[in-house]
Amino acid sequence: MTDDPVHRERNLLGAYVLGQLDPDEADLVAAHLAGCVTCQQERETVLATSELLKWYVDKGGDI
Amino acid sequence: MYATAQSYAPNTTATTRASDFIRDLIAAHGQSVLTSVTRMMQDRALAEDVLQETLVRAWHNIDNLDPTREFAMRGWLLRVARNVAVDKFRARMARPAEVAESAAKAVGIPDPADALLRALHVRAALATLSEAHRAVLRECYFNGCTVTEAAQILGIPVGTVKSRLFSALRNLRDQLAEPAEAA
Repeated sequence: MTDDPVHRERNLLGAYVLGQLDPDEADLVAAHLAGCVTCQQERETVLATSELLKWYVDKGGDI
Repeated sequence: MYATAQSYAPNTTATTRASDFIRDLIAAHGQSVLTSVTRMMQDRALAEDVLQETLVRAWHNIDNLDPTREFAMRGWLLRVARNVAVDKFRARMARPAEVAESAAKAVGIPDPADALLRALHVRAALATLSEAHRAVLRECYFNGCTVTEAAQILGIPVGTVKSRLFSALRNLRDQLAEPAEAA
């Protein structure tokens, strides 16, 4: 993780889409997302990848 | 083709003839079939199961196969092995569920509508990730752990689990968007 505030929030997007952040962290990410189109797009991509992986595991695929 | 199989070890008992047949097939083609199936399935143990079943099918067809025709024999084995492998995947993926077609489309994977190809694609992409990334995905997705549990199991800080989740998903996404490797 880096001290760059933009990247700090971005690095949390994986845990964010899984609903695994602490409430204060999730608030920080949500606040950042509201004003950052780049991270909104990144969130969409991460979410889609996460959903695909959930589907894969659900179907019996292993990692 | 039908007559020649009879001449394969003609003076031995049926059992010996069958075991010679299988042994010779393994010696001549086993490695090549195994390599091909392992590449397709990304799973050595599963590939060995496939080879096993392929040999059983060959044994059932012993009277129709001519192992002296090496090229044709290998073609037959590879074709059957591929069918067996696809059947195994279908069996694994048979549980009914909503397809993640739109997610697959969003990620940019080829053939997003075909569930079997999609699963094979995800599997192949996972295999290219580093073990550190795969381990985090395994705990958080396959084993259903929270990030705190994953941190304990993997012996790394929770913050590292969180950031690795992101980089693992992003790398996975990059791999998924690559064109499928010809199996």
